[in-house]
Amino acid sequence: MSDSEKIKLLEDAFELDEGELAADAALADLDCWDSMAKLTLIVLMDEECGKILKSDDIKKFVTVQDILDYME
Amino acid sequence: MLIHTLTSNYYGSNCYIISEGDHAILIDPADAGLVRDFLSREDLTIDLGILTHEHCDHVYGCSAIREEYNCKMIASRICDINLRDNKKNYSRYYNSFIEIQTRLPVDTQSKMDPFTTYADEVFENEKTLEWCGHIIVLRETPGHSQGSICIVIDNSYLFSGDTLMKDDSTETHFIGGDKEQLAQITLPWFKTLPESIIVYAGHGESFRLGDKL
Repeated sequence: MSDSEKIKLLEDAFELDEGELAADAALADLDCWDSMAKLTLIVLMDEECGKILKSDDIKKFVTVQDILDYME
Repeated sequence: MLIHTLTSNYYGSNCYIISEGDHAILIDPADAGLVRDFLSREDLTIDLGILTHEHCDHVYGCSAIREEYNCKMIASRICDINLRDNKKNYSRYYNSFIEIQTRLPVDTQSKMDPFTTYADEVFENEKTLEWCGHIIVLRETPGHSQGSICIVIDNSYLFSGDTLMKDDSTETHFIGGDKEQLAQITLPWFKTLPESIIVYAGHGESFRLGDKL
């Protein structure tokens, strides 16, 4: 999956408009980065990547790129 | 008729036991231990269990209570389908979600193993029951989840699951949540009900419907 495809998945999951999410964006600066978004990310990782994301993993994500890298 | 509210310390959800004489109906048996403790003190026969929706924090005790009290569970057809999938009932993700919300590891007592369960009887759209002289209407109310229903007793009491709560807005971001269905189907139906109806939600305190809408 390309980074652009991953970004699209995240934008859909977080209900953002296309192009609204930048890879270098800091998660802490995103209004949408709340507990619901984190749960949505857990589900997305499971469904799309077959990975079980734990809360400890999420704590390590600083930027959107960190999430994209995890989605390998 | 009496309405007993059992709030789980582990899952934060409300289970309701509605009694009429020595007969009772149970709504959302999340915490089997809590239900057992209550029933051990009361001389009640559970005639029926009703599930407001498929989310694990409301149905975790479903299988145990069904077996221990020989109690049939009713839900919407879609709820039943989703109960059988530990992704759609969210039990697969529950512990992680709690850790995210609380920023603490889930303690042993609150921990939930992924599970599946089912309803013994299903319905679609709407179903009306008569129980101990009371009229109970079950109605599909999509929005919070695909399988969500509300339960109205004698047009006086509404059991809303997570579809309508006193202090929180309806969460539509879970799998199967749909804010358009909530707005176009469910909220208009709430407005057909008497404002004086008392709402018993899946979380939090009860309230008057007219004070929320």
